[in-house]
Amino acid sequence: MSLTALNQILYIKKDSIIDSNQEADGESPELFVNLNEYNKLPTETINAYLGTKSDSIDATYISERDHDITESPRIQSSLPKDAPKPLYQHPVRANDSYKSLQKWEGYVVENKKDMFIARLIDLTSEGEEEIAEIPIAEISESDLDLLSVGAVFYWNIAYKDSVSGQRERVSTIRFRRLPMWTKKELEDAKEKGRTLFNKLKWD
Amino acid sequence: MGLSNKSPCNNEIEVSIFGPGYGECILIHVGNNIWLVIDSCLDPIENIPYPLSYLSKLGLNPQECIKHIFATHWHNDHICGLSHILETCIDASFTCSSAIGTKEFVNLVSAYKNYSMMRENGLEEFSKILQLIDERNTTDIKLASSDKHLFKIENPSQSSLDCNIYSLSPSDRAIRMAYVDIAKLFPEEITTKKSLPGLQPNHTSVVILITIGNLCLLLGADLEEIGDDRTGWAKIISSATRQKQKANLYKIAHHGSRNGEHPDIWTELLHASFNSVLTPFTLGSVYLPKISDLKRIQEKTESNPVYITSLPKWKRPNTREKAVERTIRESGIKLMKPNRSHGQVRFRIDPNISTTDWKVELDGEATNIENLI
Repeated sequence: MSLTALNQILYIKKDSIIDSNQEADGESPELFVNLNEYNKLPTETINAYLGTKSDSIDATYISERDHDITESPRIQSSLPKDAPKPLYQHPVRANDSYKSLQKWEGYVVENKKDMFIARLIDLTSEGEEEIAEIPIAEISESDLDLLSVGAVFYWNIAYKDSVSGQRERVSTIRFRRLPMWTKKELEDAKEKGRTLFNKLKWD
Repeated sequence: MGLSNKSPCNNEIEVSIFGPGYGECILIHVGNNIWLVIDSCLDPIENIPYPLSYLSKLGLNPQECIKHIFATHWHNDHICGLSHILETCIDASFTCSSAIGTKEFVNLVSAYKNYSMMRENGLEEFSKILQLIDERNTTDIKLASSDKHLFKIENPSQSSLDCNIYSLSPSDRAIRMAYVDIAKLFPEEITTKKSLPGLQPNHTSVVILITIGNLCLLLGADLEEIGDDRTGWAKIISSATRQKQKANLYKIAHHGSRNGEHPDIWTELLHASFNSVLTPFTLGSVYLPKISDLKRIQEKTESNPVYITSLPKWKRPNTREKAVERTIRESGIKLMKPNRSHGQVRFRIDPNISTTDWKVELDGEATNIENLI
């Protein structure tokens, strides 16, 4: 578990909570967390989480994906008996994740002032060809230079699950950054073309 | 509706035009179970080239009966599936435009086949065709150009019904212009890879004239008229050396567009009494024929019937799951599906009896254009 994840575990020491009998002037009691006391876990505990305590701990057992340490018996057995219990733990992801719902490969056939027209091939399910009229506003600024007749792009509609667990629906159009034709490729193509042309029997 | 699956009689001529909205294919029976294929497209139901699906329905073996295959030009809507037909019909000849029988075109095919890194680059079909012919090592590639007698198919039982196949285009000037245009399409160093743009106008297209006795068929492919009397229809009409027989059946050029039209086609190249047919085209924001094209054609053809294989239109795309549909709506993206529906117009006639009384049958979405105006 990374230190970032560790810091997301909140520890509250019982003694820090103000006794409700001490409230004055009708004000609500406040919950105090003395962060100075709990900013750093005992070294032994940290080492247990990170799997660096001894050679007997399999370092690969603990990884960024092992975000729920309460479910790990190995971790639990290495914790000191009086180690504070986590109040709440966020499920932690390293990155946003995407679940694609529909994907197309597209070819620009016409470029108009504020929209372009493209042929689409359905990559999600074998379907018939479609034609799309796409507003230019749907294209990222970084991709606008790539928009031209013949350019290839991918259009993906997906659910995006963020690190914090938030889900949203996204539509992304990304132009394919095809490489340039190289001198070698063109020379090879001409050589292959010449060979084939000479082999064929033309009337 | 549905056509009968009875194959034509020995001396019965059949011309079947298939056009499912994108793509065009013409299948011709010239007598004695000899069939010609001019261009190819896929049967949207069977998902195989139309000549193979249709001939199978007639109980015929395509490998045995298809003798000549023609590619009028290299655009995907006219050659989709042609390599499959060529692969099946191992003894069939192959003819294409002189304008693409060049090193420049083969280099272009080689570049896009090997290095384009794209799923679709518009040249896969032609690269498969060339590869097949190379592997076969026995097939000559016949090159079509203006006023050329391509083939004679003798009728063993009746020599008056011998079939002659001529190409009326491309002209010498069109071939030279196509050389330049194709050479320009070859990619340049340090330019980004993209899918291949189409060549406009199309100088490579082959117009085919077929005579069977007194019967004559004019197949206009995608030949366009650009106002240069050394190219296009103007050149064909003015040619002193072309085959002068007038046609009884005309496959209208370039999907009925104004670009494919020359006013003298109807008077100089066609009989007074003729049938004509066209195929639609829908891609991107382009659809042909427009209503104005249909009205123009109807005016030119007067009382002669004109058929279209299917309807040029767009449909709503298939419904997807709600989250996807909602996102598409919210993004402001308009999604359409071009019409791809089966459509066939079948003409049959016995030239011993008549050259004008065609038996016309329509299948799928095919209809007379007067129903659309």
